[in-house]
Amino acid sequence: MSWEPSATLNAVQLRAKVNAQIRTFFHSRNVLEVETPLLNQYAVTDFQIESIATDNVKYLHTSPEYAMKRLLASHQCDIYQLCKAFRANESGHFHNDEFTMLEWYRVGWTYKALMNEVSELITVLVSDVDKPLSTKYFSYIEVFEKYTELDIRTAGQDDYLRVCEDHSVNLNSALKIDQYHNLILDQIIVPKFDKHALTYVYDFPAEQAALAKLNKQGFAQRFELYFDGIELANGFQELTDAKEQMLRFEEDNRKRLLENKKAIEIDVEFISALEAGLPESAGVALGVDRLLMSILNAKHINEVLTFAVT
Amino acid sequence: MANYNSNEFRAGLKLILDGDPYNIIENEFVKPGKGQAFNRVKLRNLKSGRVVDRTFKSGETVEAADVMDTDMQYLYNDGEEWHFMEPKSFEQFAMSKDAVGDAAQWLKGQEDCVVTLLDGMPLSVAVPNFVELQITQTDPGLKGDTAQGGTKPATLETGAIVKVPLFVGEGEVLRIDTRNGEYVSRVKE
Repeated sequence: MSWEPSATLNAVQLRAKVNAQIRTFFHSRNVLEVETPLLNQYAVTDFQIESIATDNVKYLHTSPEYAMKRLLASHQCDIYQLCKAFRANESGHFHNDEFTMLEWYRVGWTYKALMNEVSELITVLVSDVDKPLSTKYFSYIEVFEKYTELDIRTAGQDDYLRVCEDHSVNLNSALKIDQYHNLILDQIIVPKFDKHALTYVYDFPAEQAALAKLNKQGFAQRFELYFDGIELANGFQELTDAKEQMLRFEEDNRKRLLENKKAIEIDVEFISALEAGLPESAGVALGVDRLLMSILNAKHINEVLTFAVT
Repeated sequence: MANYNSNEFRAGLKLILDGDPYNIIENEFVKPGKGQAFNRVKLRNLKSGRVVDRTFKSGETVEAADVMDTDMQYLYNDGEEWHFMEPKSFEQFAMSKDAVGDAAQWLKGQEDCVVTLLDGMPLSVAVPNFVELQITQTDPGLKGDTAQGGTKPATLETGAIVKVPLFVGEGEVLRIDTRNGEYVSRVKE
């Protein structure tokens, strides 16, 4: 019957336990829990992510990033938030348009130090024994070299197409290089990772910098964590330069217009916060539903959501 | 011409790829958190029956196939074409030998079939799961060998050859499962 929950009582209890463990973890480390509005005046410009608008033209946030960074700029202290986030047109085994996100920021930390803390948290959440999970680290260049034998600094579209064909990924139409990067990492490389290890991929191509700082070689100081065959977390050495951030938002809008999507009004309050001074910091967002899926060995995200809304 | 956006993809949707009609069997939405979204789709070619994988960028559009499943009665064949009739309108449809394919071996006349029409033209036919056909030729079974295990080939009135138990003889009517071409039972007249 459709009134019944899609999650078992076991899954509901696990979520409650994980939420409590997350709060204990951050409380013991003096990271402050915060709450920011789900309904916001501005949508996200990212051309791969669509916000959901309400009737009175506010937008459900796609992540609490901008508001949390405004708090960081104002209070300059470590913060975390456990909240719902919303993304239009995302639905699949590992996607739901409404999902639970854990996001936190560490002032004065590097993104590499933050990767360690992510591993410590997940170790607490996935195991009751004090046995740390093994961790693996690959730069974006290394992971493509190891699993596809491509050098992303020199490879062309034909090289990426060949890797897709070799792995029976038949494309309906040609892709741009950054689209090949997304597809090959997600569908060809990640499935080859050790499912029981925490695997970090870091230093992304500049086109995928999003809100991360670039290093001297022009790669983005960004990391993603994969566990049990799925992307679990995404972190940045946070971009603190307001001008550079504004340029990236404008670039997002240029790409949107090229793909016949409408441009998004830029969140000027967020830009003002960067101008006032965002402390050097590292931040990360983690998909809580997927972590629960992994612990429960669930095949579909609906198994960890109390109600699957279709 | 109607189009489908990849956001509308779901199992059962019928579309045209490279000029051929396909039916979506499985559709999986995949997307890196901050990257391009894709649909990884498994489709069946409605002409050849072959299953293929195709990966679409999210937002790509594909031509819709105007495909309709229609109940029809099989009438007869003239060796080149197989003729079917829509029982309400009495409209008749002719289908080539290639399009009928393996289904031909189960059709003798008056079977209720499902004919798939593409743009009003017959594309493929699904025969009933069970048909009853008479044996026109089979060797006699050996006496005393009726217990179990042994089978022999038998030719049916449509020309189909099926494996039957040794105790079954010429002239008998058999119930056949058309999905795997296997003997089910004898039919008592």
